[in-house]
Amino acid sequence: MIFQGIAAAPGLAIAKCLRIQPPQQFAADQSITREQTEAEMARFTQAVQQAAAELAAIADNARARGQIDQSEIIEAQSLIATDPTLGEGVQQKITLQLISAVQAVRLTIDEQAAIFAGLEDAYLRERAADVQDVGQRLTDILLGRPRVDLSGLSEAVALVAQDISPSQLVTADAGHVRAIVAETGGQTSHTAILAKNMGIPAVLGCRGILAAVADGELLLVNGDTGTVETGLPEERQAAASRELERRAEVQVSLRELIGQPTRTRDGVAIELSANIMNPAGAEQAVQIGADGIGLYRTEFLFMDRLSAPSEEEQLAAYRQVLEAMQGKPVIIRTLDIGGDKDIHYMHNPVESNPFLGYRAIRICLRQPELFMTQLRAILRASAYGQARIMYPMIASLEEIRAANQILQQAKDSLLADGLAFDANLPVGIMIEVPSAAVMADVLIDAVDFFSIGSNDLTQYTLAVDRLNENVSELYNPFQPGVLRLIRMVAEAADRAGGGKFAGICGELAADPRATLLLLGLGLTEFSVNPAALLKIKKIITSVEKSYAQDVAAKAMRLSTTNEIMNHLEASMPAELRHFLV
Amino acid sequence: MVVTHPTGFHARPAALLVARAGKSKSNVSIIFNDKTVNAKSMLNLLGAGIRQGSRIVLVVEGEDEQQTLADLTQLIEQLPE
Repeated sequence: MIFQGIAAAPGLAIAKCLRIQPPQQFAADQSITREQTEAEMARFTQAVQQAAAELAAIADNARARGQIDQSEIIEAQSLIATDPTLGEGVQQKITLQLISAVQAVRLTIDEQAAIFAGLEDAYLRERAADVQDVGQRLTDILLGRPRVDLSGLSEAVALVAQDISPSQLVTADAGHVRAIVAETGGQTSHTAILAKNMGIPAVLGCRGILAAVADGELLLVNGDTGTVETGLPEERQAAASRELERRAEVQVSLRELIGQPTRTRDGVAIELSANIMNPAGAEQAVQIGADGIGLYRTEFLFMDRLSAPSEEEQLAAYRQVLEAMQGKPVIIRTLDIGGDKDIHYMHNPVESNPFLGYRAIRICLRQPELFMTQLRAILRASAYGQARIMYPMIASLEEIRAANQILQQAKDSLLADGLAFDANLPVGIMIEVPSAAVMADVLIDAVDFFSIGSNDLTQYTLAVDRLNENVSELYNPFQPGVLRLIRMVAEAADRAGGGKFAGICGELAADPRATLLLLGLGLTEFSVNPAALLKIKKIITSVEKSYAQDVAAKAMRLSTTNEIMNHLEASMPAELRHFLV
Repeated sequence: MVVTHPTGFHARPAALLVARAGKSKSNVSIIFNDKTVNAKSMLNLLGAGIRQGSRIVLVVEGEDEQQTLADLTQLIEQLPE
């Protein structure tokens, strides 16, 4: 049986299930007499002291192991345990409602958790889980109940729970926890953050799993796809074990590439960069030795909040990314909203055809104040590293001119304000609208670089909405019509010379089947998600550009998607073929 | 004052603030969105949902109010990232 949850931390694991049972429910009637109130208050006070001491010890241990994030999460829990608001709530319930300390803690914790659950900020909403975690610790202490202790596991396990609390995870014997599966939780929960930090694959929000598995049963947990498989036949187990060994070997060999230049075997340098959505992504990009940031999606800075970020706030984020990259190039894409990414405070109208509607540069050109603020922030940040600016959804030369005009105004205003910026900041455009690809030979004169957004270019060229399941099968970036557009873009940049270049930042860039083709067509910059970067680097550094050119030339002579894909797979050198699966 | 920390009062900034407020002998509260919360309470502070750019009023009343106000103002302005 296969369960689908949320892929919260990447990786694959096969291990025996260990269930963490949900806490018992309390009887509704937990009333006490007036004479008992003092004793119950004393019990509560003592429980708080014990909880705080336990949490302090856990935090100290985590800190001693160098797990700073972990220790800070637990220290925050310790403050919740000793919180005066919690204490007052419990005291009122014990003395006025005449209920037991356990019941009073339960009710107060639920009230407080409900406040968090109602908040706008996704991060703070997830803190309800921390409040519940503290409540669980307090009630366990009050009831003298043994707590699930994961610190001394004797064998490798996949933990399965209603909700795995951060404190449980931090104390867990990380060497033996191979996977984490929970019915609740999402990508921004502390459990997800900790699991990623500890390198443990996690599937959260996996409903119905707890009742369907037994302790000791083998589970195959895939944190990349968010699936959990039970009832594994022997051959499936064997295949999964082989896959795990293979991944381990591949990982070791890929990590050797960190710090090596990205160059084909015949010496052609390629800029292999990472796609990121926030400053934390830049740290990750540095760790895997990315040559730069090829797509910084700034719209995430604008999402999940009440109003647009100020120039200063944007500057801080952009500057952080540029400084983290230590002089390596960072392509900052201006606001790309609309389509499937809505920002409620912008009050954009609901459209019947959002992908053909009011989105990205179209919004920015109609709302110049919004655009100006972002351009000023990017320009100011350019003083701290090698920034490049990129406009999304460009369909015509007029749009580039209009955007550049606002950019010029932004530069003039910074000069007037006496603020520093990189006067030679390169300006490029995303190529995702077919008209821009067809006009690439003209547009290149107005910009410094192109970056192909293969996802949108494919869906616009083929007129296929890939979210529409009736037609999503028709979506295929290897379709010869799409590839011809990509070739036009690469050739236009190549012919222009003068340091102008064409790159790609869509999902196709991270698809190993496409690497030889894209390289051979003449793209010189690839920007991929960090998880795929070393894989693509391995392919680029293992082949000769001249071979890739032959492969691409032949692909362009083929006339159907299938022929092209078969040819590309067959052209992959044998030692790299395992990347195709 | 205006909160400049990029995450607003998330766990770490809030923890630092609660720790300092807790040492004070005065009552310390924060007024945000017409609500008054106890700055010595982690739950109150996190639950207030204060973000970057939020306008807050810091109220300190008690024997060491001057020192507490000065310390907390500086702390909020210079919260580490």
